[in-house]
Order: sequence, then C-alpha cells, then structure tokens
Amino acid sequence: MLGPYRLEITRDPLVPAEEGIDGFSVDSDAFATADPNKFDVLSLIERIIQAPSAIFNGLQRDHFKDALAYSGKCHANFVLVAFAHCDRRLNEIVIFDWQPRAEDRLRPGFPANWGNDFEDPIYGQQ
Amino acid sequence: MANNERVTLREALLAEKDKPRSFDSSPKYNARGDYLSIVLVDTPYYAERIDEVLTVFRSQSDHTLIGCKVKGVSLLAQNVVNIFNIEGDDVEIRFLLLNAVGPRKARQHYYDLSRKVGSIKLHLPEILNRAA
Repeated sequence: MLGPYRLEITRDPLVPAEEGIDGFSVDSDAFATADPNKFDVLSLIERIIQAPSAIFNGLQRDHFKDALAYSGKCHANFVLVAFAHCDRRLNEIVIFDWQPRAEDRLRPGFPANWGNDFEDPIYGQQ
Repeated sequence: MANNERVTLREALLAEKDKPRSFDSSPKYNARGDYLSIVLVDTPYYAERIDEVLTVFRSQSDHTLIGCKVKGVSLLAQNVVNIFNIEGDDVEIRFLLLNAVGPRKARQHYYDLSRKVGSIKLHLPEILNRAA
C-alpha cells in the first residue's frame, strides 16, 4: 500500500503557522516495522493529533529543531507522544515515530520530564 | 497523486487487522526520523529519553530495560565506518553507542545497553546512503 498513510482530521489541526500544509500522515516504513506493542497504540494517533494535551516544537536533536511532538493520554499513568516533521514535498506533517511515555503527575496529558526533553511548548502550557 | 487518493491510516490498520504481527527483535532503521529502534522483549513498554542520542525502552510492568532508540544514526554510522575503517555491510551496535557516549553523559545507560544489545549488528548501506 502506498504511504505515508493519511490521517482523517476533521477540524483545523493544531500546527504552527506553516504555509500550504494540508494534512497529517504516518510514515509507512514506521508503520511496517512497528513491533506488536508499538503497533497496538497506533490506533490512538489520530485522536492525539486531533485533540492533543500538549504540542512541543523542537526535539532537542540536531536537524530536528523544527520537528513537533504531540502528546495525549494513552492509558493510566502513560501518555502517547507522536513525533512529526513538516514534509515540504508532500505539504504534510508526517509522523515518523510514536511511543508511550510516563505521564507528568502534575500536568495530565504531558510527558514526564517534558521541560528537558523538548524545546518550546506551543500548546497546552496554561 | 491527490491526497484523497492516498490510503488512510484507518484503511491501513484495517488491512492489517487479521494479520498476526510477529515479534522480531532485530534493529529497525527509520530513514525519515534517522533513528534505529530495538525491542528485545515482546511486552508493553514505555520510552524514557536519556539524551539527544539515546532513548531507552522499559517494561511497563517492572521497568526493566528491554530496548532502545538511537537517534542521529546516519552520522554515528558514518563516523564508525571512517574511524574504524570498517569494510563490509554490518556493524555492531556497540560501536554506535561508543561513538555517542561522552564525558558529560549518563554513561551508565550506555554501558547497560551495550551489555544488552551491543553485539547485535546493524545493516549499514541504507543508513550510509541517507548520510551521503
């Protein structure tokens, strides 16, 4: 099947102001190689992109300063964080990885240690 | 191809629904994110970021180390090939970890991980192509 696989987002997605971006998708290689446990949580991605608890800009990694991390509740005491970047060829935000993380006990829906692990929180600060 | 002709995530998930997804502990490289991930045990896990290179995976039930994600792999692989003058298609992951650990880092995580995954080999050509 051809990828990246499009997400069906039903309202304006929360993204930084980017000209021409018209959707979200999931990288097909990440989809194909996901282990069973990673694959199991993939069905949550759409909900988390559509209604995140937090969005961070910058992953504290070289070459990923403009990448995004979306975080939302996964199951008790855990959040699911989806990592994405803007693909200018596709004009889409493409999710290239996702993983459960421990939840910040003081900020529901935020990953623990978010202040160190990510750069600018652009949504969900208040 | 127009966006509305592309396969959606829901369709892709539906197509996989009845296919058993087998567990495979070999390293997986993702070119878009330039990372490799290794999961050694088939159990629900969570991720804990150690630094800009290393994220470890821990079992959700007992927090034991069961795998890792190594980021920026193309540069690490390029360094290893050039510094160690490696010929051939594979390199042990411990060389990537050695290349990434530094004096100011949480080295114990790298040591623990090297004992777990160090001798597992990574296939280089695809990774080096990305670095080129």
